[in-house]
Amino acid sequence: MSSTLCCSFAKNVTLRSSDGQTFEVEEAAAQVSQTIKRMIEDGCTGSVIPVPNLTGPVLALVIEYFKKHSPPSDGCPTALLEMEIKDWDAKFVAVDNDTLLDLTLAAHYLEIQGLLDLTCHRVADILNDNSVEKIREIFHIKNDFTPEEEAEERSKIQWAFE
Amino acid sequence: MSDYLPDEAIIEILSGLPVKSLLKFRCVSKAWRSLISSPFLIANHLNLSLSNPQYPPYLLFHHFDDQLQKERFTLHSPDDPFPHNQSGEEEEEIEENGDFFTYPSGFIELQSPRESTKLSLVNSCGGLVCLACGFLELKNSYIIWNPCIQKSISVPEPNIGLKSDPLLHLLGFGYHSKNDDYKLVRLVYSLNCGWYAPPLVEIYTLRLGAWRSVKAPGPPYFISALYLSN
Repeated sequence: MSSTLCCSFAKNVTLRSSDGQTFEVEEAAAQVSQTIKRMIEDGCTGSVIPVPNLTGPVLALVIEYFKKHSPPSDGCPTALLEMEIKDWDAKFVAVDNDTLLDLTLAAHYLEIQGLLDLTCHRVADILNDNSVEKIREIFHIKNDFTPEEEAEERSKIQWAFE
Repeated sequence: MSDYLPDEAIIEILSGLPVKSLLKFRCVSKAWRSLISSPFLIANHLNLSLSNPQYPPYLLFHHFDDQLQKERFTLHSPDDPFPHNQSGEEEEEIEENGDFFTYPSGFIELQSPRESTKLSLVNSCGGLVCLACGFLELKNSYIIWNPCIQKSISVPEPNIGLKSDPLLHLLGFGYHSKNDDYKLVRLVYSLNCGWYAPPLVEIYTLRLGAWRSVKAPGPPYFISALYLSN
């Protein structure tokens, strides 16, 4: 396989999740994350790069994203490739709500703008289709309004519930 | 697990929602309510929503309903925005229906910010609506209304021309992006001095909550309408 051949000299970095799992990934792919890019530029590549905010399973997903979104070694991305990536992205965020929120958080901490846009759009679509009660459930939010306060709040913006 | 999404990420998510959903989610929790009321989110949302073809803005329609004898404010979907004008129809039919308009389906009725007062539109800008109580030419009391959250504030009485001779004044309402502030500008012509005397000018700024006179005189010619926007 040509990609294996051409990348055989590529530098790898090792990322370690909060629960101690380590993952090896090409340096160029990991630099999709601005946070990791800065760490590499600061010379952290010799050792393992800790990613303390992400658990192993989430980091594994993020690395999949890195691989798909690393700059192609043979020049410009083609329109076909872009479409393929778009399809891949849509499938990538078609996950359960908790995983989706974990990915959002990961994109935020690791400064992966593309992934952040992708997950935020997906979350917004889910929110848009759901009731207030369901949103509390999805986000694990405790309703801290008293029934009276909530009724008052709702009456102020009655039209939004129509 | 995910109750620690940082505010920045939540703002990013909420900024992409249509205003109706956003308002609804004020009821999720106190933290969400304050986040949704934050100036940062509001600015971000306004920026995004103006360029988002997925959720085109509502249109606000205002008229005085003769039959009900009250001001009506209705929000209309951009797909079927305007009340259909019946004035082309036979007169008996108009009398029968009691009104010139038939509302399109799916409009939303808002509560008037001042139920018992006749209101005239000054201008709207950035989601805020400036209204004059009474007829524009006669009264000096204004309100600034946010129809989405059904909140309004009364603008204090202006300094010029409250108790003097008949006046003509022109009003403009707009947003000053440099200061991130909304302003109401008032040009006052004293009819005693004739049409060609420069008007006195005063400005109300929302942040300051007060009127101030502008030293420089207005233009030495008559302006028939004044609209301010960004």
